[in-house]
Amino acid sequence: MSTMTAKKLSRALWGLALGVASLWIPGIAGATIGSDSSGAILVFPKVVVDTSGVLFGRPTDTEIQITNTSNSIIAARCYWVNATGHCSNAPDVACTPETASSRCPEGGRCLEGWTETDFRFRLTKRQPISFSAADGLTVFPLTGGNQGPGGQTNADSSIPPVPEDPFIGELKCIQVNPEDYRPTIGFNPANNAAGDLAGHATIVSALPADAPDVDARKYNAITLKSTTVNNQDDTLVLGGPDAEYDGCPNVWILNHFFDGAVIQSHFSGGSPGVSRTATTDITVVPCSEDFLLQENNLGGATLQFLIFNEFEQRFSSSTRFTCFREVQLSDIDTRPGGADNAFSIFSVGVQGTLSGQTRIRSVQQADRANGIMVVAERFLAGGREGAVNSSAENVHFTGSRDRSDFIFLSPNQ
Amino acid sequence: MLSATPKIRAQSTVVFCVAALACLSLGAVTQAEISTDQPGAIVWFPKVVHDANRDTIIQLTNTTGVRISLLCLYVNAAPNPNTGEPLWQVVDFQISLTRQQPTVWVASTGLGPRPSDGRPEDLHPGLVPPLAQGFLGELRCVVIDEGEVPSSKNALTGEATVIDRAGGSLRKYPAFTLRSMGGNNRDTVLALDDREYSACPRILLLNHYYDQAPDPVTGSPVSTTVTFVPCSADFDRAVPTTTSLAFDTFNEFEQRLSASLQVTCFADLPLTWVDSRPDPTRSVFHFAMQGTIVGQTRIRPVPTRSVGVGTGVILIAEESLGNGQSTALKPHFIGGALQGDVIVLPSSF
Repeated sequence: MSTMTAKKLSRALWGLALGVASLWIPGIAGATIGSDSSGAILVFPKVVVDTSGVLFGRPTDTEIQITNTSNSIIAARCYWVNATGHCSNAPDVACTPETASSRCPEGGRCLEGWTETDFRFRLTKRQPISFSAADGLTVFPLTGGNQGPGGQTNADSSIPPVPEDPFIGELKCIQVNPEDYRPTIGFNPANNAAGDLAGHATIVSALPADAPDVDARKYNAITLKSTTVNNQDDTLVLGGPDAEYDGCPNVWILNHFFDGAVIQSHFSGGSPGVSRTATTDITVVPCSEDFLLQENNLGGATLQFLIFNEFEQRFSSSTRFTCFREVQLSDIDTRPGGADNAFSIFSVGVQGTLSGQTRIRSVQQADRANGIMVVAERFLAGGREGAVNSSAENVHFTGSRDRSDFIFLSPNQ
Repeated sequence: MLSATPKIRAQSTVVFCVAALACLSLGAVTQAEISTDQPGAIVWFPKVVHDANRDTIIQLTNTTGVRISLLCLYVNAAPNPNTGEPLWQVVDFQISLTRQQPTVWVASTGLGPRPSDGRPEDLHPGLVPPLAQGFLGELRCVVIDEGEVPSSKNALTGEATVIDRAGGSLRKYPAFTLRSMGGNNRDTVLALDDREYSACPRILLLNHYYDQAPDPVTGSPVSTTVTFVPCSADFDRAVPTTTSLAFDTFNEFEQRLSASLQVTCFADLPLTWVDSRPDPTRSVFHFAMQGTIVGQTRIRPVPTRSVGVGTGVILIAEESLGNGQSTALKPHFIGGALQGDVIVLPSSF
């Protein structure tokens, strides 16, 4: 066999091999956002730090857990998105729409903020880390001469604390190549190279140590899987044509108690039972975000709500948000604060049933999907000595959109 | 080819290996695993409890625009006081949900046979039996049609909240949902094989605090309880399923340790009991053993040689942060089970 023929045959064989492999990967790649699988984009829609308790009543912090689920070293570029509001006439004073009247000097309004702080880190194979948002993680486990069993390290890794306290906002992380920090598909064939990042957030509020009283609520980070098509540039295409990542869902489905519903439990054997009063908060963040221009020019949408009670009766409402919205259900259609809540369509007094299904849809724009991500928190009041206990939950969803969302990353320097 | 050089022969081998691996992977990797995010045709609450301190709130919602009926099965897997083995007592009931209808009940009270709030009869889901104290087990609901045979409607979502009397702590988790894949043959043998219903997970990932590790915010020791339920269940012959689980746990230094556990019907236990019930400090899941706060534990159901019964499991975890406060921890999944699981519903007669 001549050298030329051998080379041609060699090329043909490799071509066949790559063809088979390329047929395999896109053919089986899934394309659904999720909270119970790893992915290439990790979103914690709600991160709260308020160590003095001035905004949320109790000292509060958020514990973040991030894990590399693959057998390879990976890296991530992450962004703290600071959506903390500040008083229009006292820019150093943090506020929320609910606390503006008490926090801001007379005549002041609470102006929504949007700034980002980015950072990057490496995770060695299968490595988990945890940190509190108030403290960050400036020293990783495998640094300073420490190495993993395979010689991998967390070199060039540091997570700063959130940029201010009080802080309310989100954390977004994008899986990148550990060599050049460019966006990449996942490294684990077991999940079709969909991405290797998984995470949890636990919002913990605790009274001081001399009277320990802890309340905690935990949710899974939302993950967007890689479609395994990625041009490695800093414009990430979520869903729609030429998608590099899952698109955000079309409709979010929240099953909840109507605000003010009294939940009775523990009835048995003549037991008097326990009664608690429920309220629900939702946090909404946009899927599109512009970290390149460092401004909130993409986020924001009109949110349409359809509410069904147990009698199959249907109501609707709507609201707008720009970059971040954390709101009690009853405040969606009434003024912030508790004064008008009894008149809300999310109030048990208006609906007449304990539970409801609320379907949340963001209105699309001509040039992008305008997708959103949602997490919810439920509060039950009236427990021990009037304490409030809470739980967090990932919200169900259904459907997809034919348009894309975009995340523009800051320059990779 | 007889005259091909050794290099070409080697490359041919590589090509066939790649092709074979791809073909194998096609069979192994599945597209629609169990989920907690999207509506399904089977909804599954792996932990429902009613005892002196704990009660469970169940929420179920029909996310479609048509009325659906459900066959639900409560399985009491509390330890038999005489043998210590799970009781595996099954009670089933049927309810219906009108279009987009949510419903809620508390495990200790259920729902009465008639509406107690004055609503019309056709808006009342139906009778849900109350659970006596001492119940510890699971709840599965399957969408059925008028003929009481399984239906393909992916309509259901659900949530369960375990609530403590003392301390009022809440642990809320979303129900696991199995989607109908369109290949529903309407018999009472439900194949979780990605053709009739979505498959159970091949690997479960639990990202957790090691037992007694200090909570980063409060400093109080954290402990984790896990609940495993095999996916396969034969409710017709009342035969519980046994599954072997292999655990690999990785700490923050990337160090790996392993353990194993056999689960029959249902297991609800502290994480350290998986490998060291007498002395938790010797467990691979204990902070004193690992030296780091968090770990990633990968749990793999071990396939068996038996045909027709898979070994998949689902898992829900609860983290206690001290002072009686706790949260539910939802695991992550990778891939669909290599062996399809089977749920056999009780036959009508």
